[in-house]
Amino acid sequence: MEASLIGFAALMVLIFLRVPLAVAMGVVGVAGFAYVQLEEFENPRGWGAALNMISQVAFDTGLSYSLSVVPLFILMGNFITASGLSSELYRASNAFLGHFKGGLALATVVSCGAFSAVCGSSMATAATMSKVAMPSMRKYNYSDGLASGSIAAGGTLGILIPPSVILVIYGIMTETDIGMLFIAGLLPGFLGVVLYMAAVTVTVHLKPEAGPAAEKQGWGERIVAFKQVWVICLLFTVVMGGIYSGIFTPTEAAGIGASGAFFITLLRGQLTLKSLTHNLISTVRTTSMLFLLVMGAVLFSNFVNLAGLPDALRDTVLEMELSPVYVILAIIAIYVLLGCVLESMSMILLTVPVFYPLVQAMGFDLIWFGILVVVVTEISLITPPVGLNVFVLKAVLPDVKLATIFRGVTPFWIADIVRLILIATIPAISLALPHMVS
Amino acid sequence: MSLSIPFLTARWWLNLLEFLFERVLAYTAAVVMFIMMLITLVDVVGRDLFSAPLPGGFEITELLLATVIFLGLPMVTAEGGHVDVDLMDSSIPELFKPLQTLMISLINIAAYGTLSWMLWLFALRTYRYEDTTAILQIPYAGLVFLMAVCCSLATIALVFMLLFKRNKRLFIAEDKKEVDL
Repeated sequence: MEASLIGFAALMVLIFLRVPLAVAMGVVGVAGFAYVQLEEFENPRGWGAALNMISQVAFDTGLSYSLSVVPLFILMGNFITASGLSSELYRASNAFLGHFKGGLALATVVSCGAFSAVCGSSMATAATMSKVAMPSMRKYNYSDGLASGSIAAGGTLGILIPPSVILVIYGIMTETDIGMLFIAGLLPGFLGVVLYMAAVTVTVHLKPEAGPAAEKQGWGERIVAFKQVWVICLLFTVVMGGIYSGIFTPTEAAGIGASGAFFITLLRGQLTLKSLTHNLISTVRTTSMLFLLVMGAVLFSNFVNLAGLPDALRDTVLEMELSPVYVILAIIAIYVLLGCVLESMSMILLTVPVFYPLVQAMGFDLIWFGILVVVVTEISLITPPVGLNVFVLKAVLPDVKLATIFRGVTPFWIADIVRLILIATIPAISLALPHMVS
Repeated sequence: MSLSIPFLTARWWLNLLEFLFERVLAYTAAVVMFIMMLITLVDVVGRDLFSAPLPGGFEITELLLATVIFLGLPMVTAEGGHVDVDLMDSSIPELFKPLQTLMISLINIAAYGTLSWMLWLFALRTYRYEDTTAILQIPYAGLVFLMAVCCSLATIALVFMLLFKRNKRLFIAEDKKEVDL
C-alpha cells in the first residue's frame, strides 16, 4: 500500500518533469514491482522477475487479439476523414437546421455527432469538422467563440458515440464486454448532442448577434443533401448492427468498418496511392504511440496490483461504510482534477485499474461506470489548462485566441456537467439498451 | 574544399535513419496494416456468406498487430511523437533546463535499452523453445526478433537525439509538415 503511494508520487514527479508518460509509467512500474518482490515478498529474484515482466507484457499486449480493434477503428476514422464526407455531412445538417438562430452551430453539433458514429477519436472529429464548419460559420458572421466552441465540444462526442477507442481500452482493462459498452454509449451520446444543441440555443438567445440565421432551404435541396450522406448511415448501421446482433465481434466489426470506409473513399475518387499510404502510416503512428502507452500502463498497474492498492482501497472504503453516492462523487471529482493535467487516454489507463474493483464491490454496474468515466474524460477535453480539443482548434485556426475558444466552450461545458449528473443519477440512460440486448 | 567522408558525418547517419524509419519501416508497416484490414474482411465475409472462415485468421491478426506496433515505434520515437505533459515547463528555471533535458533523455534511453535487451533475451528463448502459434504453427521467434530489432533502432534514435539534437525530434512527421497539430 505505502509502496504504491510512493510509486504514484514518483510517477507524478516524472510526468511533470516531462518524461513521456509511457516511459514514466513503465519505469516506475518495473522498479516498484522489483521493490515489492524484494521487500514485501522477500523474493531475492525480484529484479529478475520485474525485468522478465517487461518482455512478457510487450509480447502479450502486442499480440492481443481484442486490442487489434484499436488500429482498425483508427484506420476507419482516417479513411472517413479522407473521404471528404465531412463536408457533405455538414451540408446535410445545414439544410435542415441552418435557418434557425444559431443554426450553423446546431448543424455543427449534429454533424460532429454523426461523424463520431464512424470515428473513434475526439481529436480527429474536432480537427475534421473544424475544416468544414468554421468557414461557413465565418461566412455568416458567427462569433468566433460560438463557432470554435461548438466544434471543440462537438468533437468530444467522438470518444463516447461508438466506435470509441477509449471504451475499447476500458473494456479490456475491466474485462467488460466491448460490444455492450458500445451499445451503452449510444443514448448518452445522443443526449450529448441534444444538450449541446440546447447550449447553442441558449447562447444565441442571450447574444443573438453571435449566431444569425441563414436562409431556409427547400425540401428538394434537403433530400439531395441527405442523399449524399446515406453511406455514413449505412456504415454505422453495419458496424453497430453487426455488434448489436452478435454477428461480429468488435474486432471483426472494426475490420469491416475500416474496409467499408476504404471502399467508400475509393469509390468517391478521394483515394490516391499517396493518400492511401499517408492514411495507413498515420494509423501506424497512432497505433505505436497508443500501444506503448498501454504497455507502460500495464507495467504500472501490475506493480500497483502487486502492492495491493486496489484491494486496500476497496477494503478501506467499504469499512468506512460510506454512502455509494459519495464514493462515486469522490471518484468523479478525482477524474475532473486529473483531467486538468493528464491526457485522456493516460488518465483512463492509470486510474481505471485502481478504481474498478472498488466500484464493482459496491455493486455498481461496470458498463455504467465506463460510460461515466468516458463522459468525465470528455469534459476534461474542453477544460483548461490542458483541454486537448481546444488546442486542436487552436492549431487549425491560429488567428483565434485561446481564451476566445475557452470562453466559447463554456456553455457546452455546462451542458456536459448537466449530462454527467443525468448519467450518474439515472443509470437507465446507459443501461437500458444493453439490457434490451442481453 | 576539405576531404569529406560521408559516413563519418552526423548528417549522413541522420539521413540514413530518416530513410530507414520513414520509408522502409513505415511503408512496410502500412502494407501490414492494410493486410490486417483485408484479413478481417476476408475472414468475416468468408465465414458469414460462404461459411468458409479463414483458418487461424485471428492468429494472423495478432501477429500483424504486433508487427505494426513495433515497425512504427522507431518512427514515432524519432519524431518525438510520444505523449508528454509540458504544463510545468514554464515554471522550470532556465538554469535547470539542460539538466532536465539530459535527465529525460537518459531515462528514455535506459527504458528503451532495457526493453530492447529483454526482447533480445526473449527472442533467443522463443527461438530455442521453438514456440509457435496454436493453430497455424507459425513460429513466434521471427516476430520477437523483429520486435527486438525495432526497439533497438528506437533506442539508437534516442541516443542520436541526445547527441545531435538536444533531445529534440530527429525529423518531422510527414503528415505534420502541413498542419502542426
